Amino acid sequence: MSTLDWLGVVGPYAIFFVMLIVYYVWEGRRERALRKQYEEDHA
Amino acid sequence: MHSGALAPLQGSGGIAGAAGIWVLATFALYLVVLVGIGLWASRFMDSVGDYVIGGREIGPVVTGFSERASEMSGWLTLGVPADAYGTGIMAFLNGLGMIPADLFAWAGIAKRLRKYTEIVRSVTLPTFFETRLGDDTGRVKAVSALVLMLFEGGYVGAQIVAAGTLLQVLTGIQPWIGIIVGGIIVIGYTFLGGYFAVAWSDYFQGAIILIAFIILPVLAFTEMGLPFEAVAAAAGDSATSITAGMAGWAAVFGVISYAAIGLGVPGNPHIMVRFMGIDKVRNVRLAAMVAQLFMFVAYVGAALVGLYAIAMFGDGALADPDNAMPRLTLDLLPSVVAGIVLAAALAAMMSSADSQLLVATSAVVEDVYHGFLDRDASQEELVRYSRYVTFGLGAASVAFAFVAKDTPIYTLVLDYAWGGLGAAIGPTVIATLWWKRVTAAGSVASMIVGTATMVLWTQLSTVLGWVGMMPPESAAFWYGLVTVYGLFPAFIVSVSTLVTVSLLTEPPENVDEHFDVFDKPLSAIIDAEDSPGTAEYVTDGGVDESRRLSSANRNSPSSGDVDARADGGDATDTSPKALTEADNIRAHVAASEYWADDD
Repeated sequence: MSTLDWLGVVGPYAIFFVMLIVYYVWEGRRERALRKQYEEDHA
Repeated sequence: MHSGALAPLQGSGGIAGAAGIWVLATFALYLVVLVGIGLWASRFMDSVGDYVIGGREIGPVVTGFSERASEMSGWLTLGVPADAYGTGIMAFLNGLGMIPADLFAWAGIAKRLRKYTEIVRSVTLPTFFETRLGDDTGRVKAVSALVLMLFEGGYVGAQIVAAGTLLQVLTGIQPWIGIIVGGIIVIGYTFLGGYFAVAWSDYFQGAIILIAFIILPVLAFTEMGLPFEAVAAAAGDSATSITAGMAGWAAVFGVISYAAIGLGVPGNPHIMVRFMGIDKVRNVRLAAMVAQLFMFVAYVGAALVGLYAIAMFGDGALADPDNAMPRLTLDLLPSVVAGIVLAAALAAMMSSADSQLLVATSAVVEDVYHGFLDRDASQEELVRYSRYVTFGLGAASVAFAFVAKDTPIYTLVLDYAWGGLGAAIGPTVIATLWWKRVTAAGSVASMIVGTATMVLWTQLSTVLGWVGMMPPESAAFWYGLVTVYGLFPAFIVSVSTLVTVSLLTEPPENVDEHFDVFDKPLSAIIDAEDSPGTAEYVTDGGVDESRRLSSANRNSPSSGDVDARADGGDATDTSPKALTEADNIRAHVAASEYWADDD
């Protein structure tokens, strides 16, 4: 298998894994910010 | 199984040989255990509650598994390994569209759909569309229900073919016997699985298949190392090329076809109902993580299984590529363990068919019959009609399975189920949650055009071949365009139609009020001091939120039966609903008393 073929197999999965981690962290922060804003609005 | 009275019914003999009896015995035992647990759970509802309460921590795990298990059908268990057996490493690209599309669905659809359908208490997509688009004419509901019925019926047919194929290859029975037996089991299972512990069985079966897709490649690896050299030796260099040896436009359209599979995610209602049924909005994030990791393992494992099948049995050695996964399982695992894995595969197909048959049934009974023909139908009537419709649709699916039994499961699912739902329903799901300007007319036009394009594109090469206008392979662009996966053009045409027609028509009023729901915690909507409790646009006329919550709590000890309406229905709800897949999942959630501190 050529390097290009290896990249074609592994590359997308590596990118998707990074996307998943980014989503998980970003969504957690967004959720906390949303909750905090809601609590401040109702304080 | 290879002699005596069954002999006339048998074909050339099953691949399982002596292990076949183990497989069938394990499968029979498996079904008995599943039914037994379902009956036991339905009698002692505390146990169901306990199970989901235990799920205070694993709730999102069950949801994530369940979302994926609803697809752990014949397509992934038999189809993807068969695809890898036929095309080589390019089959890894099956995840190219699916994985990011599923992540986008969790990120962009799950929370919005979950919050909105909680507020308006929709349990089916057609009802959600009708409410969100403010459609008084019923057109959106009727057209979307018909589309669901058509393509979910195709999905059930594909699962029956898959189950029949597995029975056939294991035991050597004739294909028609396999389909009939598969059909009977699927329809029967729907009655049981439709009412008992659906999420649980999905979780359990999904876990077994997932473990199998880890163990099989690991066992094969310990025997022969990485498969790529052996694959190249057996099937040529094209099998270890990421474009399967194609270049230019052929490679571009080949990659597009794999990537376009992901466009089907938003339109498949058996995935969307998982989003609607999750216990807490904030658990969506964890459920997404679980579902995504599940996909990584499943897609890589399924492709590796197909590649190891090439390496171990040789290219073209299997008369039917769909046999790749069962053959490898029987070769690498002891008979009893192979029996459990293949029984779980068979059960997973039926579990998927169960979900899809229920979605199709709810489209007919809840959205068409209850929505149009008899709005005052009682719960008992609706449940009774649901059974009739399940039988009718199940029989139609068996007939479809007969017609389509020679089509590979991989293309059967993608062309006649997944793609149709993706093209017809997907654009409306996305637009209703993200675009204020979408209209009912735009949605209806998009569904009709998406369905027509998907059906026609699938038949395009056949029709062009008949009239002698099929482009030759040397005309790479045109040949690639005609043979590209139909969901790619159908989705584009469907979205274009939705946007164009919506811009030419008037959007519903109070859209801003609907969209307010999306950007706040759910509790901000339903617990606000100035809130009337339930939005005016609820589908069943609404009951006071505090009564709804107390009702859910009060019902919790017995919430597994038909009357346990986790969507809040109680004595004041004059519009009872047919039991749907979402009802089932929500009933489990209600049993846990999650609603009491829902956010």
